[in-house]
Amino acid sequence: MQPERLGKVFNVPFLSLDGTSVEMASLIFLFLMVIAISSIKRRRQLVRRIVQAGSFFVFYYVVYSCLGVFGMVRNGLYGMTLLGSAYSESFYWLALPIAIISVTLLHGTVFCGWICPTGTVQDLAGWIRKRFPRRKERLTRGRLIGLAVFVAGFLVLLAWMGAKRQLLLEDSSVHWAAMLILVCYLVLAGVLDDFPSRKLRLFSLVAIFFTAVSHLVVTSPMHFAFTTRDDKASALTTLVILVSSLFVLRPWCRYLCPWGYLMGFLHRFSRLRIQQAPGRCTGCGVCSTTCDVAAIKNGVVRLEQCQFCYSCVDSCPNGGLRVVDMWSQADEKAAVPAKKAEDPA
Amino acid sequence: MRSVGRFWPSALFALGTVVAYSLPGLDRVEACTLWSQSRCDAQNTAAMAIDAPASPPPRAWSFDGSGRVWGYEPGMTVWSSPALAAVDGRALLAVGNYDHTLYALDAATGESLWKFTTGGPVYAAPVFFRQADRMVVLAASTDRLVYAIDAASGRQVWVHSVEDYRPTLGGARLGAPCVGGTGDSDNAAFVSYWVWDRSLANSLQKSGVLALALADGKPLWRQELGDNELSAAIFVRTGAHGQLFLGSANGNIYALDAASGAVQWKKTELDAVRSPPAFFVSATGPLVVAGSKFGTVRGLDAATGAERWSYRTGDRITGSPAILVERGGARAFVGSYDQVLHAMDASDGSPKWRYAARGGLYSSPALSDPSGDPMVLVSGWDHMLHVVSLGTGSPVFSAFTGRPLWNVAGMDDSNWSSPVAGRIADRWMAFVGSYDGTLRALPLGAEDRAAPTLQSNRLFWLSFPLVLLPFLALAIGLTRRERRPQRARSVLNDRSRFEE
Repeated sequence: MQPERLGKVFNVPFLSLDGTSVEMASLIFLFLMVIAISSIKRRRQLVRRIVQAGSFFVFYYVVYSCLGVFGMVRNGLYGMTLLGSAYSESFYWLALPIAIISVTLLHGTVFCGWICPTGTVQDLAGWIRKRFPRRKERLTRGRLIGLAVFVAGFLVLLAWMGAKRQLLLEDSSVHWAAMLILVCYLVLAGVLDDFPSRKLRLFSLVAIFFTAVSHLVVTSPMHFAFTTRDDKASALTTLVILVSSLFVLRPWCRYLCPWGYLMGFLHRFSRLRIQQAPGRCTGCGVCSTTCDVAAIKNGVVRLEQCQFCYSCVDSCPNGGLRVVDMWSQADEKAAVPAKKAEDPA
Repeated sequence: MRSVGRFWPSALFALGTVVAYSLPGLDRVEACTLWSQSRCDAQNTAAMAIDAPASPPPRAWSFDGSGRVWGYEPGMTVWSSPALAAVDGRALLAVGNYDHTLYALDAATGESLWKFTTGGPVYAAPVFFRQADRMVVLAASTDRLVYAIDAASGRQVWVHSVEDYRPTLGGARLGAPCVGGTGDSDNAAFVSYWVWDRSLANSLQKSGVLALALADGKPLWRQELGDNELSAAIFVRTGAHGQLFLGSANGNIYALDAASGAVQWKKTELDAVRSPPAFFVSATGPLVVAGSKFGTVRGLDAATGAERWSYRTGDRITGSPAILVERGGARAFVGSYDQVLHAMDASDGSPKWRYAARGGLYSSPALSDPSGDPMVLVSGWDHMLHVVSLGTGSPVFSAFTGRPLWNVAGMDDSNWSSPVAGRIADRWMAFVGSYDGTLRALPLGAEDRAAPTLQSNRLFWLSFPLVLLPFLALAIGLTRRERRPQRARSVLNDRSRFEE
């Protein structure tokens, strides 16, 4: 291998394209910052909000290679197809997905809880929802009317868009918007259960994988915010996510985020995870009510749902939940039998 | 009296002509004379007046080239952008196709004159050069070979490979050649190339520009430029020196010395430059105008690469800018994926007008001049050819040019065929190689224009139930599966209670 090519392997992931190093450098700084400050307990949730706002700023002004969850899957696959034919472009597309996957394996799903702009937008709407007293999860008459107005508005906006301009398959993020409305409505109506419906994220991942392999471009929700392009379909989908978040907290993350499914899967193998501290849980249920994605049941954290926002850890009055380093635990477990074997007594 | 009667109309005509030509904005499009670059000339006007006495008056025609439909892969197109030339008194249209063939058609009638089969799809636009008494067409194929073919007979004159054959060689992408000279006269063809070999033993990824002698195809020099796809180059001669300008997929715009291939300057853009830049000489000096996928058009000093101006569109630019040089200055036209055709002052980048289409504009514009009313032609993802008044940006007409063979809406990694314009027997025609597999010739004159066809959003709406129904079925299935054991458990509990 030529020396300059070896050098390129190390240099190019830090370049957005030849000569620009701003994009990846800023993102890696963001990841390292989150890893560093998320372990500080003092006013952690306030710090998280500040980091979310800062991440939004970084995605708005700096990041160009990824303009949404769908784009990240598609660009990653496209980057893989370029391996062996154009390394610099391949690394450009692969750098961000690989960085996120690496951070997830090292530090849990902090990308979802601390950085993802789609999550930030949902948190914003969720904050409004939390201002109102929670009476019932199921569909009341008021909610039914609200949802009906919402669905009618969605259809009117869609028809207006169709009349104004050619709608292409590229605008199919609207399909995801329709799916989100449908699943939220049916969950609230009691036709679907919340927890099994979370597996629909796999459907979403398969669908977006299929479109990427078929060379179909589907613009992501939030895409419109990070580009100068007039992407009304993406804007409409984002609006749907925002309004749905008034009914169900973080609905996109719960039911449809393809990248979220991947993160949840990788969380099983990550170094850090949140676990119950033995003997400390009093079963008060504060953690379950605090968790925006309802990832905790009876004090047990579901790894594939957890977004590593630390709100359960911070809210538990008895310190019943703690962050555990699984890799060092595994080392300790491996070391114990060895010690026993060494000890003749 | 008689002499006076003859004098005044002639004098008035002469005066009118002088006045018309001295007013800014009333220029006629100066069509290029030899299609020696991918878009005819360095201004990318893609328009040519052809002296073809043997051709009949042109009419609308279409030529179906969709016989063999392969799966889509990024970068592929159906037709290359066409090129025009007068050969033996006939207007000849040369165009490459993904069926590995270079077609030569009579531009007036669509009659096939000859075809030449290469070893791979021909995505790069062909170009022409004169060799002694004959016209020769140059075609760069993805079989990594550059062919020189006699335009009259379709016979091979010479062939040269940009990279030696090896069994593991993965593929090649060649840009359209451009004809120029390493010295004072035109003696070379410059071809940009990108080749790769993914085998572990012979790993190779390289791109560059190769200069081939027009006489026999022997290489004159080679300049390597990294490992990325390169756009076609444009050749310009400033004084005695020739210069080449081209873009690359890793976001660079290069200026090369045509004599040696040495890189004179490199300007790094924020995203890929997929199409060749345009060149013109402004009042302040020669400028290179290029657009990138970042959506920015920049005017660069041709001598140093320093930025003179920039213009931001709303989305990706994959086509080349086209420039109309006027006496008072110059105007640049760029199609963008923001669905707008942008017209700007090419000297300072100030906006002139905007024309909004109903789909992203992927093609390079072509400039035509039907009866002294200059027009801009551009193709978009609404599957229409848009013809717009060059002076005001108001729509003249649009024509449906067919849906893609593959549903690859929005894919911007293919440089789909761009329209070109040609005047044959005083009639201007547009030639469009569409991604539906059909090559079309459309008259641009007011009396015989194609009627516009409106498109529906059919595929988008059809895909709604195709996605929603399986999704709904899966969602219900998942919940039912979760509830089933609970129901079974409750039945068991009931039974045990009954037994108690």
